[in-house]
Order: sequence, then C-alpha cells, then structure tokens
Amino acid sequence: MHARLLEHLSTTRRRAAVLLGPRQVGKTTLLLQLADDLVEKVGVAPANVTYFDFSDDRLPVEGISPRDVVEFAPPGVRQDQPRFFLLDEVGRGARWAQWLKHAVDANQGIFLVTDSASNLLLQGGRESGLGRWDEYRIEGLSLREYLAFQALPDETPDTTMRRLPSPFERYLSFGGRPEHVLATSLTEVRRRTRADAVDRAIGRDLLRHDVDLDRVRELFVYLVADSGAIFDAGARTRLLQRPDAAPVDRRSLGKWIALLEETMLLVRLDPFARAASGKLAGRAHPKLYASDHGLVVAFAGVADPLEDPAVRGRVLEAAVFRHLREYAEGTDEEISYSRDRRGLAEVDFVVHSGPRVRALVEVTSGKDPTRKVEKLAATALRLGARRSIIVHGGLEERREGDVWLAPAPEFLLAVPEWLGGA
Amino acid sequence: MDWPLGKRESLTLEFKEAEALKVPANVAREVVAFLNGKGGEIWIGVTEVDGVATEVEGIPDPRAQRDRLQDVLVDLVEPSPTIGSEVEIDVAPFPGDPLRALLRVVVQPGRRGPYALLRQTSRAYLVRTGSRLRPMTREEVALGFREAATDEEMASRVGREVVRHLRSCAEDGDAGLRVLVRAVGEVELHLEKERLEPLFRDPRRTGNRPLGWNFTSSQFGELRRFRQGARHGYRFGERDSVQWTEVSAGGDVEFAAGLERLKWQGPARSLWPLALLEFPVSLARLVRTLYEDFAATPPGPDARVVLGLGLFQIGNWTLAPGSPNSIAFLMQKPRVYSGADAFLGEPVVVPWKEMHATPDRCAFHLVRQVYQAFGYEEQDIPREYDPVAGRLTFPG
Repeated sequence: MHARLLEHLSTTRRRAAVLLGPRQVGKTTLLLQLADDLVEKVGVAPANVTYFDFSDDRLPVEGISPRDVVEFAPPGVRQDQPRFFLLDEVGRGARWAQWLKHAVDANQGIFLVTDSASNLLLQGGRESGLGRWDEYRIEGLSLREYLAFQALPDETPDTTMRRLPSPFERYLSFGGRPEHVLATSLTEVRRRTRADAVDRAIGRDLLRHDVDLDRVRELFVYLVADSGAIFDAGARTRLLQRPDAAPVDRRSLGKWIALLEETMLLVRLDPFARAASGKLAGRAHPKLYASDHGLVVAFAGVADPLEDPAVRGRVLEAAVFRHLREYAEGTDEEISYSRDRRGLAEVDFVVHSGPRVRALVEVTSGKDPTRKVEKLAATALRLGARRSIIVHGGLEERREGDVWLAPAPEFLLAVPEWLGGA
Repeated sequence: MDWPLGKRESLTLEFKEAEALKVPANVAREVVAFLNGKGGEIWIGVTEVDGVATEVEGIPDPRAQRDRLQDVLVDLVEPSPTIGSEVEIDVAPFPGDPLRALLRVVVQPGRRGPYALLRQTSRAYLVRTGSRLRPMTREEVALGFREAATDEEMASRVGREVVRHLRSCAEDGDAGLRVLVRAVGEVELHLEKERLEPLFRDPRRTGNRPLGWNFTSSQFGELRRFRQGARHGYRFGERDSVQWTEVSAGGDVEFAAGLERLKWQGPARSLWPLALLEFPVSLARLVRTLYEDFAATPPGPDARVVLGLGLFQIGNWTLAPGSPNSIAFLMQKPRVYSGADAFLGEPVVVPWKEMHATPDRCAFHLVRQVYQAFGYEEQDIPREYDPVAGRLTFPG
C-alpha cells in the first residue's frame, strides 16, 4: 500500500487519493511515512508537504476547514514544486468531499486524505468524487506483513516464522492491527479491540448517521460472533426487537449492515451462482465476516477462544478471506461462496472471474482435512474449478487426487502461488 | 501470600520471633534439624502461643537480615547448606509496607548429611521430632554418613557430566541457549511417539502457555527417534535448526535454542528477558510431565535431578533488568555481558519432590545465575516470576 500511494503521489496530478480503512489499522503512520518519503526520496521541499490531523483534540471546537489548511502557506514554500497535502481524518472537517472535489478541479495541490468510509456515505461524497479521486482501502496486516514487522534485516518470512515464538498462533490470537504486533497479553488485546470497535468505531463514528447505536452495537456483536454465517435477515430482525423501543424492520437492518460494512468492520461475501446465461445471480443470502479475524477472538464469549474449535474455525476462515480479498484486489477476479441446492454453504470460497472458476478454497481448523476431500472434489467438478484447496490447521502439505491440502500458514504466505499464479 | 497465622508448629513448621535474629545460631539449630529430617519451614517474625502462630511482626531491613542469616548458616552448619537449593530464605513483604517483611526459611531434606551445628569445640547433630529438637543417636549419625557418601558421589558425578557437556558445546562453537536435565540414579522412561508428540505440539499439556517462549512448536519440527550408542529416545526438531529438544529413555532431557530465538524486541544482540526466563521454565515443566507420566516407576520423593544451563557466543550481548511489561524497562540501561564468550552455569541439584511441586523454581535457580553473571540482583529478574510462590505467570 505504501508503494502504491507513493507512486500515486509522485505521478498522478489530476486525482486525489482517498485512503479508507478501519480504525487503528495504520493510516496515520502511513501518511507520516509518506511525508518523510516525499521529502527524502522524491526531493520535495519540506515546506511543500503539509500534514494535518483533523482529529487533533487541540483544535478549536468549531474546527478547522480543509480550505484553511490549504490556503495557509508556511515560509519556504517553493513555487516551482507542487504542494502536497496529507489530510488525516478529513471527515472531521465540514463538507470535505465537496471541497476536495473543487480543490482537485482547481489544481490547488496534490491530495491524500484519510477517513472512515462512513463519512463518505454521510456526505454523499462518493458519487461526486468519481473522477476526482482514487479510493484505496487498507485492512489489517496480512500474515506476511505481520512477520515483516518483526523480521530482522534481510530475513525471509519463513525464517521469521521459525525464529519467533508461536507466530501463527499470535497472529490468529491478536489479529492484524499493527498496534498489537508486539503485544504480550491476549486479555489486553481483546479488551482494546472491543473498545475500539464498539465504543469508537460504532459509538463515535456512526453518531452522525442518526441510527440506534445500541442496537447497531448489538447487531455487530451477533454478527462478529457468528462470522462467516449466511445472513438470515428474518432471524436477526427478530433478535433485535425490544418491547420498549422502535420496531426493527429489514430496511433498518439493511441500513445498519451497510454502515458496518462501510466502517470496514464487516465484509460481505455473496454466493456464487451461474445462471444459464453465464451471468451471476443477485446478492441474496450473503455471508457476513468480521473484517479482521482479531474481532472474532475479541468478541468470542469464551475465555480461551482458540481452544474452542468452532471459534478457531471462524477465526481462520476470516483470516483466509482477508488474504483472498487482497489477492483479488487489482485483478478482475472476485471472491464468492458456493451454496448447494438446499441453500446451505457448500464451499467457503470461490475465486472466479465472472462464470469462470479459478479455484475453490475450503477452510477447516481441524488437523485432518481428508474427510472434506471427496465433497470438494465433487463440487470442483460441477463448477469446473481449475484448482481445489483445503486450508487446514495441521502440518501436512500434499495432494489428494485433484485436491491440495495446504497448512494454513503456508497458504496465507503464498496465496497467489496456491491459487495457481496471479 | 499464604500467611502462617493460626497454624501450629509441627514436624515441618517452626515459628521464631524477630528477636531470634539477634542470636542467629538459634535459627541455625532449627535449620540443622530440618536438614537431618524431612525438611520444613521456619517463619521469622511470628509470635506463637502454645505453638500456634498468633501475631506477625515485621522485620526492619529484611533483605540485609536475610543476607546476614545466610552468612551465618554457611558458617555454623556443616556441611554448609547450598543457599538457593538446600536452603532458601524468602523475604515476604507486608502488603502496603515494602520496608517491613517476614523471613521464611525453606529447608529441603538434606542429601549430604548428617548435618551438624558447629559450636566452639563440638558439633551438634540435631533432628526434629514433632515440634521439638533432639540430638541424633549414634546409630543415626553413622547411618547418615554411610548413605550420604554414595548418594553425594552420584550427584557430583552427574553434575560434572553436565559441566563437561556444556563445555564441549562451547568448544564446538554452538551459539545460543542450552538447558540440560539429568537424573541422578536410574530412571526409565517409556517413550511412545503417539503419547509424546502432543507434548511438543500443544504447550498447554505441560502447563506452558501457547504464545510464549517454550520448547514446543505447532508448525515446525518433527518428532523422530534417535540413537547414539546406548542412548536412545526422541528428538523434536533437527539439530541444525533454530530450536530442538531431545528426550532420552534414560531420563535425560536437553533443549537448545539459537541466539536468534533469544532476541525479540530492542537493539541487536540484546537478550529478551522473557525468552531467557521462559525457555528453562518450560523445559522444567516438560521434565515434570515426562517423569510423572512416562516413567516406568515414578521417582521417589528423594530422588534427584541435576539441571544445567549454558549460553554460548554471548560476548557483548546485553540484558536489561526487570520485566519488559514494566515502564522502567524502557528507561533502564542494559548491561553488557563482559565475561568469556560462553557462560556456563553451575549445575543445580534438586530433589524430585521439588521438581514435581515447583519446576519453575528449579529452573529459576539457573536463570538467577545468568542474571548474576550480568551483574544483576535477584530483584532484577522479571517480576513475572514470583519467588515466594515459585511460579512463572503471565497476564492472560
């Protein structure tokens, strides 16, 4: 992501970059690193690089507008170089989307802004931003990034895995947020993750959307605890009814889920369907996943989440989905799941480009995946998949007929290779 | 902290008021009696009435008093007890008043007896009977000397073997940590791969934590048989890999971790304190499980094991004091190891009963030596190890 953003800033003149991501995922750190690189690597004059944090508590209550920031010219600004504006949490500024659109059109500088996506929804800025900015999404650390954080100079991920104490267990337990990479207490990580998700991401960030925050929180906790389940709107609607509160209908539920997706706490996975025409069917019965597997651990209602096979399975599945999303980004491939005739989930993940299926990926936290081989092989035949993989919690890497058995860490470190090349 | 109030003096429990420290020979008498018997505890700073502890009185400057008492025991008891092994003196601080404390003298049953209290021109061989002392009979003294010779020779021999082994690792150019455990006397372990392998895959099975520095690995390493002359058993991990553990059917256990496994955060060439502490402890816990669950005949309470530790190629490596989970850790200047390139610890001999009850404490004796080699005191060892409970615990 760092390289992509630096390239954007260095080469793109007529479009801003909007970096979206959940809380505490490293957006600010990335901006500050980019500021350093613009000066040291690209050769921009320091005064031509402005970083501003709109969430700074020292700002006056009435706030500062992005216009104020752009119009202020510090001493030393060079007129023969463009000005770069790295605006953090720009959503705290009023009407920022409309302002950014004008600023880009007026060529006032090169802009990289960060925010949570829910502000884009609120300000209706997404449509007006078309053509003016490129959206970049950042998620929690992948396993490779997690290891790189702790690697010694010139160390490969494999070597780092062998050197560190239980790195894969730690990655599964702590999730992909950079602040937790060097954590030592799982209890503390779980507490912080819950506080960030429930109190801040939902409690504060969604405040301006005029929704029933208590029930959004409740819905979120249900969905995260059941991460990877097919969403049953009827059942969820019934669960959220309260005698002393306004009734919940499917429309409200849909709106809340859309908000949770926009804050990047949840991610939707649609079913794969290939109609006779070869086009995909609609988006009914999606599966909903926690965007980061650390959320599943944080909200698991047991003391030792990874010891519970059901929780461990959900954690692993969320982690695999995150890595598959990263693989698919920037390609024309998509990720879906497969359902059988009864509407039940059949294969966890289908990697496809339109109707053409590249790979099926089934996830199990169990150490013996062989009982799933036959079913996966049959589905692969029916869907015409080029490759079938069972990601499992054991150590064995081998091939059973046409099905590959992949130990989870090995799969996560080399997704493109396992799927048969990017 | 389990205070002794309400408890009664017994074969293994004695109370002394703080005043007793003015005549420490009176404490030494009790130590001798415990060494010659089944061991026990002496709480100093406790008032008793009819043998029942009724009141506690904090001892001022307890650490200095502890050090003084240790010196007295070494001078007045023959043979001098090994402080830290046969005799340990803990400072039990008062909650809310760190300047005052009780002293708890923990005495193991002696293995080098019979022990005597040295008086000006004589020796007193004392033993405990119920809550009182009596002189040992002539026959008891003679028997004690006969038994000690054989047992002591064996422990010394095993200790020398451990030192020789560590020295050869250093000469071979090994780098990193090596921890050895050897049984004194015969031990036979029935090692079966199906039963043994889970211990190396799941740290919880030996009382270790899943995310810590221990001998297990859920991903890497295979458990394979090995045979080296008459020695045979199983090895987990290859000998040229970053970490391996060997268990022999004769009860020997050996663990090795490369230097890169001892470093985590901080500058290059800095030992991570929790790795240094947890590796030996995890191995001691493994040994406890092996001897309990795999031995043909469980060891008797007085059977002994010898532990040894070596750190190789650590010249100019640093170690910071305290726990990395404390703020002070970031502010302390780490010390550089200025000794020879290899640190070879003194072997520690512990009774099986101690290994069974507090394996962490047994391993701690090794770790303490490393900290002393860096010029640190016991209080500089991370607080995750509780010296009173003899247990290493991490927050959840």
